[in-house]
Parts: sequence; C-alpha cells; structure tokens
Amino acid sequence: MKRKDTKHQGLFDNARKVPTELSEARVESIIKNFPTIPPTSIPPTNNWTHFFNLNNLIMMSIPIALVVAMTLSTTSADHLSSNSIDNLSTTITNHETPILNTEIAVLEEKIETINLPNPKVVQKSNNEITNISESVSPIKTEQPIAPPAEIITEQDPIEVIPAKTENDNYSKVEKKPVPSLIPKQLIGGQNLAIPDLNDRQLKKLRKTLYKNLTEDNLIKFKGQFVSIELPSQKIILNKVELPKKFYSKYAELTMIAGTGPNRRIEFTSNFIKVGDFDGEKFRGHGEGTFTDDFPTITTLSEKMESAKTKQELLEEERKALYKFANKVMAKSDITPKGKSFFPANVKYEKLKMIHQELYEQLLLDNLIDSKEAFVFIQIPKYDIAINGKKIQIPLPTKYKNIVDAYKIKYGPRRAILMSSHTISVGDYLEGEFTGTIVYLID
Amino acid sequence: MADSKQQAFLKAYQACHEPLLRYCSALVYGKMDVEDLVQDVLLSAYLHFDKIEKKHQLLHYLIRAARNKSISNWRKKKYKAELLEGHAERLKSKEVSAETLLDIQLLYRTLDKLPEKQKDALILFEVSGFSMKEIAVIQESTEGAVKTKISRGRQKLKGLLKEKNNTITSILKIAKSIAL
Repeated sequence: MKRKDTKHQGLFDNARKVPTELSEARVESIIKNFPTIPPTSIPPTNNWTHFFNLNNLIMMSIPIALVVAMTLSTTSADHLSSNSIDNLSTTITNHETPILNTEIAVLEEKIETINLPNPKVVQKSNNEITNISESVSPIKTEQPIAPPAEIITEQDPIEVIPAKTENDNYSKVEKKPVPSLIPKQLIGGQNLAIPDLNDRQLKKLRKTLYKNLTEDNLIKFKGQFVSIELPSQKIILNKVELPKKFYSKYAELTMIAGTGPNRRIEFTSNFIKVGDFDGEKFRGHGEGTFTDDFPTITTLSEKMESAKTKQELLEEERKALYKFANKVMAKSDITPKGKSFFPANVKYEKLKMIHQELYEQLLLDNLIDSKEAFVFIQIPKYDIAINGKKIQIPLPTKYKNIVDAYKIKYGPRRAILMSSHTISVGDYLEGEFTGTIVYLID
Repeated sequence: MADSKQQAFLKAYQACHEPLLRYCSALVYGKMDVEDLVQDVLLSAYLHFDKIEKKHQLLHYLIRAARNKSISNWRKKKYKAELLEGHAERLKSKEVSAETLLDIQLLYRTLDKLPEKQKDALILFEVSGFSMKEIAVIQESTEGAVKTKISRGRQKLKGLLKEKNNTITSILKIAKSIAL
C-alpha cells in the first residue's frame, strides 16, 4: 500500500521515530523481578475427600434434609404407636391356622392396654383395628367370631366414636354435624343482625343475583338498578313481590344478607349495598361507588324513554345551531373557498375543554351575551370570524392560540359550532357538516 | 529451571520490545499507565510461556494480550491528567522535542476517536510497523479486511485532523482579533 505524504503521515512518522516510553532495560528489569518459583499447584492426589467441596455439600445436603423432614413428618407419634397394631394385624393375616375366640380376646386386651396419647392416636388405632377385623373376617373359624360390640379405651374422655370407616359393622357410627359456613343466625328464621360481608362476598352476591335475575327475566339487563327487599317469608324485587316459584331460589341466594323488616339489597353495576334501609338512613355494608341519591329510573322502558327525550332535545339544539350557522354564513365576512385536506380529528375530552374555554373567552371579550348563545367560529388559515364577523387584532391571536393548543387544523371550510350542550368541529358548508359532533351531557 | 525459563523469555521478548511498547503507548494513551499494562501483559505471557507453542510468535500473543487487558481496564474511562503528564515527562526525559510531543499527543487523541478495530489496525501498521499479513494474523482476520480497516481509518483520521485544524485556526484568528 502506498503511503501518501499527508499531515497525518508526518504525525505517524514522528510517533515511529520517538523512542519508546519504557526502555528495554526497564522492561528487562521488570521481567527479572518476576517470581522464578512457579506458582504452587495442588498436586493431584488419590484422596477422595477433594470431591467434597462446599458446592457439592450444599447440593447434597438440601435434598437429604428435605427427605429427612418429609419422613419425620409422616412418621409422627401416631404412626409409631400404631406400629404395634400393624404387627399384630400382620401376624393375624399370616396366621394359617384357625384363630380361636380366646386369641381374639387376648388381642382385644392388648389393644385396650395400648397407651393412647391423644385423640388422633385413637382414631388411627381404631382404623387399624377395623383393618384387623377386615383381615380377620375371611379366615375360616370353627365358630363364628362374635364382633366386639364397642372398643373401650382407658381414656374415657377421648372421643373414639368419630373415627369410623364406611363399612363399620363393629362399632357405632356417630356422625358429627358438619359445621356450617353460614353464620348460625342466618339459618332459618328472621335474622336481625346485619351480616358482616366483605367486598368479595358483596361482588359475588351481585354477580350471582344479576345472572339469575336476567336468566329468569326478572330484570331486563345486567347493570339495571335492582332493589331486593327481604322481609321474612317474602322477597320484594323492585317493589314487586317475587312470584312464589322463585321464592325458594332467591331466598337461598340472598340468605347471606339475612332477613328483616328493613333488610334490603340494592345494586347497580357500580355498587352494591346490603343492610337495613330505615327511611333515609342506611346501616350495613356496601361496595363500589354510590351516593344517597339512588336512581329513580327503575325500569328499562323508563330509562330508554328518558334517554330518548334527552337525545331528541340535544338533536333539536344542534339543528337550531346549524340553522343559525346557515344564516350567519350567508352574511359572513369569510366565504369558504376550496376543501380542507385534513380532518379535524379531536377527541371528546378535548372538545369538552375547548367548549368551556371558548365560551369563557367569548364572554370575556363580550362577543356573546351568555353561555346559552349559539357560536359559529370560522377558522380558515389566516382569519378568524366569530358569528360571521372577522375579529380585530389582538383577538385573533387569542383564539388562534386556543385552536392551536388543541391541535385543530385550519382549513377553508373549517368551523367550530357551539351551543350550550353541543360542540361540532369540522368542515361546515351550507348545512352540511363533516367532522366531530359531541353532546355534552353531565 | 526457572532461570532458564526467564532467559528464554527475555530472549524471545527482545524482538518484541519496540513494536509492543509503541502499540501499548498508542493504545492506552492518557487512560492507563503504559508500564502497568506492559507489566501485566508480560507477567501473564511469562506465566503461560511454557504453553505458548509458537515462541517466535510471542509478539502476536503480547499484542493480543495487551489489547484484551486494555479493553477490560479502561474502555469507559476518561483521560487522566496525571497519566498524560507522566507520558509527556517520560518522553521529555528521552530528549523528545516539545513539538514532536504535541504531535504525538494530537495523534493519539485523534486515534482514540476512531472505531476500535480501525484504531487497532492503524496503530499496528503505522506506529508498530507490522505488515498487513502480520496484522491479519494478530487480529485473526484476512489481509483484505485489514487493508480496508487501515484505509478507512486513515480517511477518518484525516477528516478528524482537518476539523481540529480548522477549529485551531479559527481560535487563533479570534485570539488575534482580540489582541488587535
């Protein structure tokens, strides 16, 4: 490779000509100072202990400890005490010759003399005894073996009875009542105490009730306001008594809430309240967002009707606004020319804010009388006309700043139309509007 | 036995001294003491000397070791003033003129701005005086690749030096105007 005679080549030449930073003698002295004795390495030995390093010990000791722990936990005291009975049972099963009654009597005696440290032990041993009896039964004896009526242990206070097997022929079976998960005061009769329900239980109750009520066509849709009154012996759903065929089902479903003259469950998709509703006072538990003012609309039809009327009113307001805009546009200082290339893509939240901000600014600038007034703002690229009149300096900058802040794009037909409950941002020309219309309902 | 190893190592090292030292100086300029690096590299080479099969290629081993050590030691470190001073003092003691010293400092600083591989190839070729073939062996690549690295490195270096020159002349102009 040819070297070009450039400045950097001169630099390299200098670097090559310069003596090295460390002289050869210095480096040699460094080398001479190196340890001459080679580092001691551990000679390979036949000693097998070198396999046991800390890592190996840890890796081995953990599983060993686990196995030991598991064995110890399973081999508890009850297991140990039953070992003797185990042995007995095996001797009996292995017995080839017929067993006489006397031998069984001896066996029973032995069982009686076993020291029983705790009830668990007794349970276990009884199980084992049953096993003995099972194993004994197939053995053919000359005389039928009379089953022992009841095994009596030395420790009387210990309850031996519950420890039973399914085919228990030799001892009495006394079933202990299974403790109910439902509080005692809720089972049967009138329950005046307000149940202590947590959020999870309340949510579950609402979900179950919604599911069943919709399935049984007792409500129209999930999320509807539901009020279930729970006086004793009847259930009132949304102020109508529940048909008898549903009573038992809903009594069971609402059992967790208890019953009482003022007991009620109220819920929508947003909240659930369970407790006593005494007039305006509420005492109980709730979950979700709720206020004291409950929705007055109780049926779907009512709700729909109300919504329809509201929608209709807003539609009328918007139409009136567009009529107003048409009139204004006819006399407006700005005549739209051409089409806008970019749509005014503004979201609901932003439009809500623009609505408020523009109304406040317009009132401040005395361009409108009240917040009820219709407003038609034309925003082509360079001018701004409010209700058909170009605004004078310094007002345009104010309004342009607002428009810019919400990233509304300008255009020949671009306009903002506002009434007290609606705002439309888009392209407007002779009654035709393309853009976003938002109804502001609080 | 140990003495003979030391002797053999010294003998092998004698041929490596100049290119290694030049390479190390350029490589760790201002970031690490050359003596420390050389000591580290030589010690590791000395310890593994018996295992080095091609004794005549000790220099290649040392260069590679120096590069690896320097990378692990100072890759992200900034220039240290005391190291720069140390470097200058050592060269001054060997009667190197101030002008040459400045030239070398400028070169090393500019080289440091090049990509690692280009810088490495350029130092080995231009400063340490290795041939393309040797560099290819050291860097475990091909001669063509080394050529490319050197050529690109030169181009970049040229550009960087030009930039520096421009800034220096502009500063001088400003200084002159202020003085006037």
